Amino acid sequence: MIRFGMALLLACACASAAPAAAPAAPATQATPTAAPAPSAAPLAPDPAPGVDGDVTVAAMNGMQILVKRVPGAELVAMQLYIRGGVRNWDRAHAGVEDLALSVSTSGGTRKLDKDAFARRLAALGSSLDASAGNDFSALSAKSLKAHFGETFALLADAFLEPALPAAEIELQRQRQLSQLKHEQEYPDSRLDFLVHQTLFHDHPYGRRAIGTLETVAKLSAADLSAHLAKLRETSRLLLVVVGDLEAAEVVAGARRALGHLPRGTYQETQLPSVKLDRAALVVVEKKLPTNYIQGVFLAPGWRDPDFATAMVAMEVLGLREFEEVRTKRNLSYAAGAFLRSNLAIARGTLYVTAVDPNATMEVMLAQARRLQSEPVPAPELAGDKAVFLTGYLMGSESTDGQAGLLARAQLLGGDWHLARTFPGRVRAVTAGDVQAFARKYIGRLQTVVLGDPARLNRTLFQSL
Amino acid sequence: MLRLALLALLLTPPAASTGASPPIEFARHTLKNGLEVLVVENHALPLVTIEIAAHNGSMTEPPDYNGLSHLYEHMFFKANAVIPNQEAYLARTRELGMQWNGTTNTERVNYFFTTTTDHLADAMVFMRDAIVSPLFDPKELERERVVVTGEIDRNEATPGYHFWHQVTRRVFWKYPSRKDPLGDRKTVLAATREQMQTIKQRYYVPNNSLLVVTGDVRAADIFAQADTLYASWKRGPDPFRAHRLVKHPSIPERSVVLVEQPVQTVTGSLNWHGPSTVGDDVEMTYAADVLGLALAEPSSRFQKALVDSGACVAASLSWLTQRNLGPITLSFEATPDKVDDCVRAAQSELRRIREPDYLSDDEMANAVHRLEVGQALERERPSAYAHALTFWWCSASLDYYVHYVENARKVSHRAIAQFVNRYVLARPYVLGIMVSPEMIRERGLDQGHFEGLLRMRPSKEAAR
Repeated sequence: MIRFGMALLLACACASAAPAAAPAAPATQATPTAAPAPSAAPLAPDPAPGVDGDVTVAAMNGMQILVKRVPGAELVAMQLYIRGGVRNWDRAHAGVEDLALSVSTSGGTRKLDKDAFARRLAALGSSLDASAGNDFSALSAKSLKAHFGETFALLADAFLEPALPAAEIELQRQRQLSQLKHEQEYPDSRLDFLVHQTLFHDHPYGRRAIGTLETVAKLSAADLSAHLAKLRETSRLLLVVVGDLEAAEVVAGARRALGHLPRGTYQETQLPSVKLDRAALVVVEKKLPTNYIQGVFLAPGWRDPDFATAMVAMEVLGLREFEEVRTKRNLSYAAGAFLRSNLAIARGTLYVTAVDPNATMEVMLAQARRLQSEPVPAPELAGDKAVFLTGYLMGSESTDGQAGLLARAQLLGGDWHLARTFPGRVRAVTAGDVQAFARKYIGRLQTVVLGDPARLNRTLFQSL
Repeated sequence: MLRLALLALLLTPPAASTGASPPIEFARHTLKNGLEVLVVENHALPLVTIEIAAHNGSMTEPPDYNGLSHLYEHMFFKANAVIPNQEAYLARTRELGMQWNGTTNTERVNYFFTTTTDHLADAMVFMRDAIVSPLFDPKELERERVVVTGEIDRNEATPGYHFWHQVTRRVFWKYPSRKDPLGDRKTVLAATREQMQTIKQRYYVPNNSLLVVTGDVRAADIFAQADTLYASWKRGPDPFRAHRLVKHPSIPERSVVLVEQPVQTVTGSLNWHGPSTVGDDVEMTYAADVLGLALAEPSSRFQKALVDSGACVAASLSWLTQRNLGPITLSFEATPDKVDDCVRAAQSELRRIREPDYLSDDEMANAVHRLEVGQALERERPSAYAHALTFWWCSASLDYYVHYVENARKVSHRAIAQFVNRYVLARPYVLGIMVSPEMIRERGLDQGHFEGLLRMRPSKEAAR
């Protein structure tokens, strides 16, 4: 059964459905911090789990455990996060964490070979996936409530005792290489790649989690084993579980599975900041039916006092871009603005595809300037905040959505409570706040165009 | 007067071997004018989703209407009898804090709003006005035609679209427009107000539509509101009596569709005409889904033969749930040096599937359990569940959905063999292959090469 085949489903891509809404993407700060105690210090006993509203917080040898109870939920989300991201590998080994975790979840364990492991997951109806990112990685599972215990045990085994068979390493390597190739074939993913390179080419973020064709091709089984061994310390780990479960059951399961791990000495170091001195334009020529354009600027992260304002301001700007570019002038199907906040170094983005890039960007930039020069009228601001908060709530409909939200607030913001208090901060944003944000942050735009360079008014593109 | 034909549909599946999921539960009500209303109560969050779907889409489109179901969908979000233009429409969505969108595919066009519970009554009115009284303002239509071509541009900028489009045109060779929701650029640009009105009169009648409301609502309240709001929406003739769906003739012979795009890996598919969710062979649809899920498990013989062998990077078999002939697709990806091995492995393995012991009892049971958990995943997010329900209503029926797992559980080894014999092995297929010009030039991966691989006589094109 396929519910929606490729290209069979045409979404209207209305403004409210554009990435601007980013309902489940809270959190970010430029300098994520964690404060694990050094392993050399005498180990204090873990504090007793504390209950804070619907969240139980427990500690286990420096590892934080968050359990959110959702009464009546059929499904349980369990997500084991590994801190570090780009701090965990050098340029030559970019891609190692991604490949190692993929093979860990697909190649079986010492107890169950690949087939037996897959059959057990299938019998439970559970899923287990790995993801690696520039700030953190995760092993994520989802199961029926009744199968939480066994599914979590499989997740833990995949992390602690993966078999890493050679054939599976080669298979997952091919898939990672394919992903890198496809990234260059599709204009939106290639544009994202180009923007990333423009901003971070000499920054640690430049060694992306997915790696490169060259680095992934060279990774050895020994590289994967050594890398995984490095990750197995509680000071790196955060476990988030959301479902209709007793917290004590979850904590006990975590102790059984992960309690023997060394605390380690992991402490998150601050990443260098990114400096943008002036507006810049990068044009990559490609024959396409339309031009793909992103203009980006650095934006405040989750713990920054301006973060909620940034989210609201970009919601306002996104809806205005849609209306002015698409509705009133039919210059584009896809015009918007949004805050990309799922990285520690957040950024604001103007996004559009257009056959007339100059006329379109003139309107896009005018809207950005309008946000700087005029306060947003009260009814518009109230409405846009309501739209944003609807999207934010939608991000919490699923147990994995809630788990991801708590985790991002904790990992990128340093405090999971921020996920809970965020709606209140959004409601408190004023028109003055939005205007001040726009003046302070929207500028020194780094614009990347994938398309036809002959058509561009370069002065216009570098005018903000 | 409230006519509460409240029919709570409860299906308790027979005891499953692993974990039981709760019954499918929704309240159902049919208005006098034929409008069906479904309500799914979920009070976990203060959100409501209102969705209307029409049984419309490219299946209804002859060439001179190809793409106009989609254009109509765009026009829904514009002027109507109450809202003067799209600017006012957008302003109202802000006032109501709405996330909104619409989609068009082959057999369904749907429109949906999600907002907070306090806006429920206004959002219900807003939906009624939009679905019942669109104006198709000529100036707005003129602008939107261009916007839709912007969406076509974006599709045409991706290799995957070209692959899908060219293969689909061959598979549904006689009536390709009926399987192509994006449609034809010229037809869209020439679309008239009269054509929009024709679509409205023909398909946007209550007896061809479904209203779904999910979230923090009470079924009785929704039914009462629907009775009042939609009382004056006039029933129309059954659109599919006067305008019958086409009968897609069989694929006449085995053939190769070679698509050249700037890609770095080979994407391919073997394509057949499959069963439909209505008619005499519905049982085969369950067999198709169980088989597809069983083959997707990493421990399956299929994955071992195609992927673990190193022949393909990835492979899957799927059937698209459709009333009017769902295609069966064996999709694969391969590196250029292995593509022949991948195609041969697929051909060879297909012949084995009909063997009685090809799937074990456990594999069959696990596949059904995946379907069951899939339904739990659909239910978890009320906003997305509304989309799922309208999909099933349009492309199958609610009864089909309600009894889906129960019927999937009845699929036997014999039914799997029948499905493969009847729809796959006994019928010609289309081999779609997407390669780059370099692969053709340097590796000889041209039309003749793949025709030779299928042991076909060279086509006239290749012979030249």
